[in-house]
Amino acid sequence: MSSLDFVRPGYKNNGITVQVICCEDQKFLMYFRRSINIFFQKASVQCLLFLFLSFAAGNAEERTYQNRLTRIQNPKPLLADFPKWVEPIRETNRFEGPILVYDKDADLSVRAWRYSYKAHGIIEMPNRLRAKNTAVILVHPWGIDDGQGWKTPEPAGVCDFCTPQKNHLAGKHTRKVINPFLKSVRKKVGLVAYSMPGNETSIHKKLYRSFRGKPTNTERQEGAKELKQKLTRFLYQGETLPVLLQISRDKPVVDYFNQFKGLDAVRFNPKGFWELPIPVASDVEVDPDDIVIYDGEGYPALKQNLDAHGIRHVLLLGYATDICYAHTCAGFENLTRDFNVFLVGDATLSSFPASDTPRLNTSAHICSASLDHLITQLSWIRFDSAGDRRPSRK
Amino acid sequence: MKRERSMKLDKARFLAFLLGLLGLSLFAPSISTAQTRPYENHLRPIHKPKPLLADFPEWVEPIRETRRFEAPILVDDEDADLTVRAWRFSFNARGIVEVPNRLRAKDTAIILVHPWAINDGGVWNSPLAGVANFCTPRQNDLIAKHAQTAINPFLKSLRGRVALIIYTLPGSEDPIRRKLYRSFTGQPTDAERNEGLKELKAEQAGLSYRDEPLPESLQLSSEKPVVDYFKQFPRLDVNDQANARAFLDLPVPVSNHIEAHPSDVVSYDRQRYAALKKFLREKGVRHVLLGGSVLCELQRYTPDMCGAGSFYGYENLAQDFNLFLVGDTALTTFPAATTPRYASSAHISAASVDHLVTQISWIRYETPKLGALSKR
Repeated sequence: MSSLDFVRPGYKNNGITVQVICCEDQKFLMYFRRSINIFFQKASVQCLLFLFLSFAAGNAEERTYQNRLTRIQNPKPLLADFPKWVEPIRETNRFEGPILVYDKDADLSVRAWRYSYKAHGIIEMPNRLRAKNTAVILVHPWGIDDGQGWKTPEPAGVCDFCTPQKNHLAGKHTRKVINPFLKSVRKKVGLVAYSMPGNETSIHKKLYRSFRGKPTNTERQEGAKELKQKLTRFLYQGETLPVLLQISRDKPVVDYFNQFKGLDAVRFNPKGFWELPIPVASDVEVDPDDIVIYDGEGYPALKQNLDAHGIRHVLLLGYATDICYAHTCAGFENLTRDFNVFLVGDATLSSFPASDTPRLNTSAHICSASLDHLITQLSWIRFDSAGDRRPSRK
Repeated sequence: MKRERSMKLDKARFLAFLLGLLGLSLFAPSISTAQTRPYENHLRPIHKPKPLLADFPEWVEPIRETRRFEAPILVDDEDADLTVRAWRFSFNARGIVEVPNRLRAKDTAIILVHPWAINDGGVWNSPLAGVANFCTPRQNDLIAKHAQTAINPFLKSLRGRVALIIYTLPGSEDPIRRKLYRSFTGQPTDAERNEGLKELKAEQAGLSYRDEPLPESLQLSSEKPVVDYFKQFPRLDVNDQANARAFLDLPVPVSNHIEAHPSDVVSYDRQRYAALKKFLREKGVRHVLLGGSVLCELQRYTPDMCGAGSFYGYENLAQDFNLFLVGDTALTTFPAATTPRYASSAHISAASVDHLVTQISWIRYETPKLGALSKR
């Protein structure tokens, strides 16, 4: 038996396949040594490059941040502007920290806060951003049950917030809260973008601008027609709920949940449903200059594109706080590694099973996120008007 | 001759095969009916339903979903003496489904997750910031009150009726806790308990706390100040400078507000789930009523929160036992909030998609009346 049979293939590091050896085949060891040599040759070049980059980075502007916390007396609740959508946060142990983001030529104020167990309270801090280096990203504004044709399958199908009633509620939030905000910041910030699941289809390409290109008006109209045809021709009829289950005497609860899951987005949605092109919600007035990000293209591509547009700050909006807003390609878990991210707490909604309102869940998930991320709110995002005086760095 | 013999053998084999088939066809249905039963999943709308989990609004915000259904009885034990009404949310049914259940109390265990005795007025107090349980003394105070007013009376009402009351605690069984609590392997005497308590007090008194202040200054780049800020001033700082590790290595006792009985069992996280499952099986436990002070998403998805391994999360128990989350005995962490009630309600709602949820007032013990209970 050749030693290659004991090799785990495919583990690549710096373009070199690093093999795992499990026996002593001379020929293979020679191959392995050669691989290692090439690896170290490449690694030494990379080390030099790294040293050069770190030297260059060392020369980049760095500042000492005085982490002095001043207690805020009688603070007002946070996220209190839209209590229908987010339960206000009433923590009273609150502190003010010094200005954190302080861009040259800043023209956008974004006050924000985070929670610290170590400080036993909420820390608020002002920030001064350059709007042109700022992107507003709306995560997953799915166009479901919004009149464009994509509908939750009946009688038991699930999509987005998972019931038509919940989707209508979320649509209202998009219409009343998010759309006015987008309209107020568009043309002022560097970028307005929407992240959507999957990859760009031919219909998407005609409808929306992407990082690769921008459709003409004629293409948009054509795309809208094709989208409508495709979505309205589909039959949104799926399976009914199971009427009879087989349950054991010993573990009826286990069997019950195995046969009647809480969320089944495959069995009760008809075949082909998830292959339909998902449009941006009609509650958002998409501008031809707005960009659609496709999750399928991955985070490295997104980062590269944002960098290429000079983006350093992200104001993050979208759905659902506990799922896609956190964990997808343009979710905060990814973006936080490379950008100054501000979660706009009243421009997001959490999933809300077993509840007729998303406000408690959204508040709870935003609070959890505040341990590792800055939270802001719509009323705290303010553009300077002409003649505004900037706060001093002190 | 040979051919005749072989034909006879073939006939005998064929006869045996037929008899086998006959036997199987006679016995198989009775085997399957003994093990399974058909469950008619008829959902009947409930009109004007009252909020769920509404008995302790200080701890859990009541659940006000109005689209509610009633389903037939699910767990229906012979000689049942414990009624446990429960509910779950189904996105596909687009509402809450409530189900009555009839359990045999002697086949039921109550498991209480992590009733830590920290900042509860007992011996184990921490001046350290952000290190244990709900992470601030103020939040730990609140949790202690919950244990006192909601959990302890519930445990007292069912102790002696259910098969077991189990507390899960972090770490391994150390010499001190071996003397204090019954475990999977043994039960201490009264003398040992007294000795253990003395040793526990001495051990805890022996640790001098060394806290450290917040970082006074941070080095921030001009490009990514927010990224740098969180790297140098993270959410929870359990570092050696603040000797929090030594603090957390102390034997964590059961909360002072729970009157632990000598028959109650302590299960240690490092024993892992397999040991708990084996112990429960040996004691004939089939149903679990699960509560606890830290029942949250963290447990569900990152069960190593306390360095323990996947032991105490409800995802494990739900695979092997009929699990009921007792919603008003379960609190979640609540950063940036003055009350755990919203976060607890949100997490219980999320858990209800895959698990049955009940509440203290829905768990009722009654002496079985002969022949009157089965509604199968």
